[in-house]
Amino acid sequence: MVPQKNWTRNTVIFGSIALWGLLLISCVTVNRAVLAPPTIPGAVFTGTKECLECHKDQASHFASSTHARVMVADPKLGDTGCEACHGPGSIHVKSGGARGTIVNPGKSPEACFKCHLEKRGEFSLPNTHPVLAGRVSCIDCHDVHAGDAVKGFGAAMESQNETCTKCHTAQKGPFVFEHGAMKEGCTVCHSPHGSVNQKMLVARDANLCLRCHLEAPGAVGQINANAIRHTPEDHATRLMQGTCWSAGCHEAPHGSNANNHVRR
Amino acid sequence: MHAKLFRYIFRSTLIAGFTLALSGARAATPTDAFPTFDSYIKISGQAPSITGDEAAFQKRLQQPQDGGAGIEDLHYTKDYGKDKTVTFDGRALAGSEDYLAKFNVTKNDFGSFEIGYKRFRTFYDGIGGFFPLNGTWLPLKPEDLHVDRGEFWVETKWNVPDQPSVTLRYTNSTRTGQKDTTIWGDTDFTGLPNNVPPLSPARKLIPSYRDLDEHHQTLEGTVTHTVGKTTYLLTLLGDETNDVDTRYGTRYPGELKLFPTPASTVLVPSANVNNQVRYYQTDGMSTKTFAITGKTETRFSDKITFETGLSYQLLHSDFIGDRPLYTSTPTAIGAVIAPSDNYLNLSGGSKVKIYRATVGLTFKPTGNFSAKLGLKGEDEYTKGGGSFTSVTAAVNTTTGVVTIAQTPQAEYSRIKEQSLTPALDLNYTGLKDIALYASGSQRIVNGDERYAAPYNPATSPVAPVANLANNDLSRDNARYVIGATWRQSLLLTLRGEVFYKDNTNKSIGYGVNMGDYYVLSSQFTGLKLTATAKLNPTLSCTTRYIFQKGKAQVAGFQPAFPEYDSMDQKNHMISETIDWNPIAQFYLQANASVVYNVIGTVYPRAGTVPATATNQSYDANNVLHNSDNNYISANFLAGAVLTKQDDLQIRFTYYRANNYNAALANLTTPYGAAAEETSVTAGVKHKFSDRIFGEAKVGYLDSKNGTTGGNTNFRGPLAYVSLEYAL
Repeated sequence: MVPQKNWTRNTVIFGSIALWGLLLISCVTVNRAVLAPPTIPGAVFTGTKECLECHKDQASHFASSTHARVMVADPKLGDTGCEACHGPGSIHVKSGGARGTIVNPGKSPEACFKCHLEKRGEFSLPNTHPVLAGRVSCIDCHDVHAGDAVKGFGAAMESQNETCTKCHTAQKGPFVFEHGAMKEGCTVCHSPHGSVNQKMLVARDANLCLRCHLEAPGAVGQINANAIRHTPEDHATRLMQGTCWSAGCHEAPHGSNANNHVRR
Repeated sequence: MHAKLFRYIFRSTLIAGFTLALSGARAATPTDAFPTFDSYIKISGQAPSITGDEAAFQKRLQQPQDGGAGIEDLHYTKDYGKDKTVTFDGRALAGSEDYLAKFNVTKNDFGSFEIGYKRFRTFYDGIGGFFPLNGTWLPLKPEDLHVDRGEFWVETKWNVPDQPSVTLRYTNSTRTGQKDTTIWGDTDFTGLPNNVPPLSPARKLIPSYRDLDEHHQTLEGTVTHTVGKTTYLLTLLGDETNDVDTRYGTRYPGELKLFPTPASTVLVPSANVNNQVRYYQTDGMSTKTFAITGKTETRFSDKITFETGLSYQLLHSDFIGDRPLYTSTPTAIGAVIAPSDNYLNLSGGSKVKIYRATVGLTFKPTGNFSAKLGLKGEDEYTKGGGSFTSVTAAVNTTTGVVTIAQTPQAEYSRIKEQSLTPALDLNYTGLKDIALYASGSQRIVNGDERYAAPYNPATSPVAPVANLANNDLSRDNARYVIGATWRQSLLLTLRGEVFYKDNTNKSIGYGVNMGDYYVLSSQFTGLKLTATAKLNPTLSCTTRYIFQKGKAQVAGFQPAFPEYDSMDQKNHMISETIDWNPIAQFYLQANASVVYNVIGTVYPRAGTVPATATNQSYDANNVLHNSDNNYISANFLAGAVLTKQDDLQIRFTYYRANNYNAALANLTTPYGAAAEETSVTAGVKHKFSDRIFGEAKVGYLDSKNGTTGGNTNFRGPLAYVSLEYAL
């Protein structure tokens, strides 16, 4: 159910003609470069050893990072791990770290999008963190210089949900009645990079909950959900009216201090 | 006519391409006419002229519909002597309420001091749901909402060589404002008949919103020092949150049952089958956390590094809450508002203690092979309890007198969990132009849970058995990844990764207070493939394909209902980026993603419900279809040199999702997002002098939203101008 387009073919045709015209004029009259982001004009690779001179804190544990394992050493320069994301660093080194001489993924996600192409698409969706708007950056959630880029996994010291709850404190709890899904991680229900659904939900319907709470098919025609206390519970007629977390139902999906079925 | 135009376009394209190729051979100097200034101020303003739903525009673009202006970026830096630098960064954009003031002074080999405040606004819209059968659309009035995030921080760093490095940081964050929720209320204004039980005309479409008042403070101190081969790190953290959030909602707005109840419901208009309920729920919670973390890292040699970590965290929380809920009840004397089915004076608290310990051994026997073995152990104890007053009301429909009954309620819970997580990482780069890696971890959790569902302590000093639960808890989360990078040549690099996740989650009741029976298993397998091809120095293409398939099985209450497949999920995501820089004066970046994502649960296995004496037959398969989350997005960016002082940039974006299924309306709330959005922007950047740059952009965007029946469509032009001045 997508409405009809309004763009006309003539708009595209005449727009293209105008664009080509401008390009023709500029190409024959100007001998200057325009640079695609993220690019450092005139810079060449120097190797990670140069970076260590000033950025020891960031570089010293890079070998343990998720990103380190995809690097193939350059036969001439050795490891170019830092420059894979920050761009060639020769001018940055020569200028002693002058502004604008190095790509900073903390300021713009363009460097990250070079490899994580699909993230540009996800951050372009209607429901996302405002990364493209410049108010949140990739490094607010990911530590790219050491350890697992997704915090809290493996043998890391952090807990799994810290990345989310440092900003979303109200969802952190603790609640008297926890929702077990929080133990699995916020990303079980939310797509933090973006979703077609409101609130970055993985699904905008009862399938979101039934993935884990479809206890049994029950009798013919039944949709049994959340019947974890030894009683079948046919939710079919309730699901006709809306989602599991609708008003009057399980309104406290992050946990509740007043109801052990996270109803309020 | 069109054929002639296309021939013209074709010819002009050939000429343009030929000319571009020729001019590219002249090898323009790769310098930028618009370098980054060391210190500068950038002033900008933007003004949209939107037709349609302005709140939807604000949410989508995160810009105010009235436009805005101010200082977009201010950066001032000055060196004092050889080793001191002072920096100030600022931003003040009225309209989008985006502000920043940051002051930093750094002295090399000594330390730094920084103080700052930043704030930005996030826009939301309170639109609720749309029902296609009769076009029901009942958004909040006003529809536009927003939340402001603010943060003040001050940080000092002491960084003298060969001495302990000390960092002290204080932050104070706030989150205030209003945002929509998807906890929608009910309405019977759907056009569906009310006389075919068990089918109901009610659908949950009525928007609700939350009023946020959240505060978060942290004080963190870190000391790092290296003695011999060992680096020690000690972190102390004090953390305090104070959140009071209130959710406002309405159920069945504008409805009131007939009084007296008619003998036949067949004659009752479908709009008059429920009573309006207005409610708000306040959830207040304050937490105080103290945490101490110690880490060591000892580099015995270039080949062996040993790490340890130990942390302790103690959290106390207090919570409060109310949920006044007012139902309009029809009586002989008219509608009476009765406070029913709610609670008041919720209060209680929780305590959480977490111990964590880690050890890690990294072994590099050769320059191209490394192995890291890690082990994490956790012990977590959570205890919480509270009380509240449950309020119910009885309405005398003859006199309209409301009799309120208040019942005290008490509750508690306690969870103990211990976990152990071994992890292994392997990396090998011994093959020419190939990097191989593999990692695996398995988190094994065992624990015990006890809780008492709310009970009346006045009549039962201890919780009745029916409200008690004893559960054995266990979880097993395994993750395995294996991957490789292969630089086939300077022209082609390939990366591949395969992953597998296996999870089991059990909550099984035991003893006298038999609790739950819940066993959930899930398995996810997938792969990520990336290919980067540099076809020539001016053209590169990157392709990335991600596939994930997941299944889950749940066992609820054995033996009557054994394990059952509860989920079947597939995700295909393919993205392509093309960077084309045919000549120094022109570049093109094109990016597109195509995503196919489907989540299936019970559909289509529910079957048809047979008719009974009181209920009609219906097909439960139509209550819950698969959840489709497919979309296409594309982004094109082109830049070109126009003159010695002017650059041109053109951007085009496109997004389309087409998952909305209106045919579901008869038996459920239609779901699946559908929208189509297009935007085009053209901008010129002009160099007025070596110290002054200007930029002007005009754009047009068109957004059509099928999920809301077109009610949130918007379109219109936008303009943006900026001036950047070197200080």
